[in-house]
Amino acid sequence: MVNRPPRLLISRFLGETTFRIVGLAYILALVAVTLFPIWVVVTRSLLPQWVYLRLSRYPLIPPALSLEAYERVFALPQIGGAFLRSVWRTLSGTGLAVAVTTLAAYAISRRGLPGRRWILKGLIFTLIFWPGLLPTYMMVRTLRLYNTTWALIIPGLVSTFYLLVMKTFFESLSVEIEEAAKIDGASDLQILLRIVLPLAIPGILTVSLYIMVGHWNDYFAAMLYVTDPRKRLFNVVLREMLAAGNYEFVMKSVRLEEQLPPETAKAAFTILAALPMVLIYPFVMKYFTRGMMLGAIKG
Amino acid sequence: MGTTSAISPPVGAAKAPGLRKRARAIWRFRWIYLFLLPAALYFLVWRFYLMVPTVLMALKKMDIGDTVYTARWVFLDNFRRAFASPYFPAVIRNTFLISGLRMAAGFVPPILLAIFVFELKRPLAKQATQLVSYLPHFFSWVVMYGICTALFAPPDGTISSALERRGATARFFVDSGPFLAMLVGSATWRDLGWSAILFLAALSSVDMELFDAAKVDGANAWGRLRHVTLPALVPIITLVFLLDVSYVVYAGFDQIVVYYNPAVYAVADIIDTWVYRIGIQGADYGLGQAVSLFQSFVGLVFIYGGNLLTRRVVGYGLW
Repeated sequence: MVNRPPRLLISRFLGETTFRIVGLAYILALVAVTLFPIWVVVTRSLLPQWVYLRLSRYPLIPPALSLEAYERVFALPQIGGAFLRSVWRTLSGTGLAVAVTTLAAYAISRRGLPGRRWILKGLIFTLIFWPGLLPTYMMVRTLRLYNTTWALIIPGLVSTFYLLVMKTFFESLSVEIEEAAKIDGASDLQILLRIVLPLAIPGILTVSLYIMVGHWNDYFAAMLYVTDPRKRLFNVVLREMLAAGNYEFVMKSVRLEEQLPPETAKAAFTILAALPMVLIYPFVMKYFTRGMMLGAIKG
Repeated sequence: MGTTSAISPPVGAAKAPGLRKRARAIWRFRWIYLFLLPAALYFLVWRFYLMVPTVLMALKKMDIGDTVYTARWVFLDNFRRAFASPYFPAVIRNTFLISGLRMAAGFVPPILLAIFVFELKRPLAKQATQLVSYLPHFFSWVVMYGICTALFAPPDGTISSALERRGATARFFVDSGPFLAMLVGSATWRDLGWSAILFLAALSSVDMELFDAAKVDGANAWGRLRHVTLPALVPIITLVFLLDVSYVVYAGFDQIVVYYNPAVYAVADIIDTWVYRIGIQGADYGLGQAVSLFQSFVGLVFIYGGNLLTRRVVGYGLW
């Protein structure tokens, strides 16, 4: 440190310290506020029935924990069935969307493609103008997709945004390997499968994870298009139960002594709905932050 | 067999050979066109063709059994009915109010988070904070609703009963004020960490030399903030702000449709929920679509205006 007047050094030190204290306080407060609601719901879902009967409330620090709520909840036919239907919708919807979007993005990224400029113009058009809820709904009914999984997969199959993101990604992959393969006589399909796809996996994976989260977390489309009680999806069943304030319609068949505390049941449902995405999100973060850092470094 | 890229025809080539070159190029790319096909079909049906009913529906009176082509023309009558409806002013007000509240609550905290996380020394602390703060973004609105009922719903809501014990009764799912607070608060809670990512990325790409220079010039942490950190954030902050403004007419429908109930329609009913009630539940496609078109029009004005403003302030826009 060069010769500096002590006054300045002290001001530097004080400023630095107060800044760190403020920063640390802010972050700690934020973490606490973030974790508290999650803590409330998780502890409620793990509360054994006997504790609730003894205390008549849901303590913030439960004296005992139990997984009985989850066992019982998942065994219920409405819940288990709805959960599986949601899983099926998410997996098939994501798979199809990723396949179609990736193929199209690769195609559009090919520089010599005749008509490419018009295709891009068309895509920009879809970013600015898009059909609203009612025409889409009408189309679903006209095509008799109502009350099928297709109604949840087809209308939102290709997002222009994700398509453009993937296109940019494909364009950023190096051209030389491709040209070499072409000279060696590889077909377009071979080039895509053997050369481009392996390199493109991070980008494709990131977009796939986003699409998957979108499908699993969806409520409105599922509520709108699947009304048959035997086919409803998990989020819809959960929401109805939360809004009704009771879960009798689910627990009707169970004897009174065996019934779970109401909030415990609701909390267990909620956690079940959140769990798949909670398990996935570290993977999203890994690829996403890598992509962001790459973008930042490149410029 | 896809081979080398198309060679551009020599300048002044005659038309017939040019056409053959075009045809040959298309043949060369035939597999590529095949890859395009599924997406193209999707766009043709669900994005391009549907623009026709999007416009026509608003101009017609759709009765039961009507299609967009068999229904009766009423031209601007649907729009007149929409503007005359007693719900119209409330819905517009709610939409702007909720968007405004969301922006006011959600704008500053992510920026602060990014600044403080950026300044954290230990990478472990950085990662742990980010891991925790990004988590709620992956909760669906139904899960959020579940969390909010656990906290705010009588009789067992953790926070609502704690408030009641202190005499502050607030019915979060019935009274307008508390409902809005819960709505906006939970939305901010959920997306705070995620929104900070953009700002954090912007800070990460700042040249470290700037920070060193500030240090040499004798700046303490607050000086660094004023002269390096905040100026670096100004472009991205402006962009995010103008993006938020552009989408003001779409005020968080996904959350509201999960949270709302008839008791709070007075404040929670926004344009999109009104369209849903008119068009889907009320089966008045014409009226609903008129409102929807009106919303798109206003939205476009905001998007375009927002983009102009961004370009003027930051130098670049969305396009």
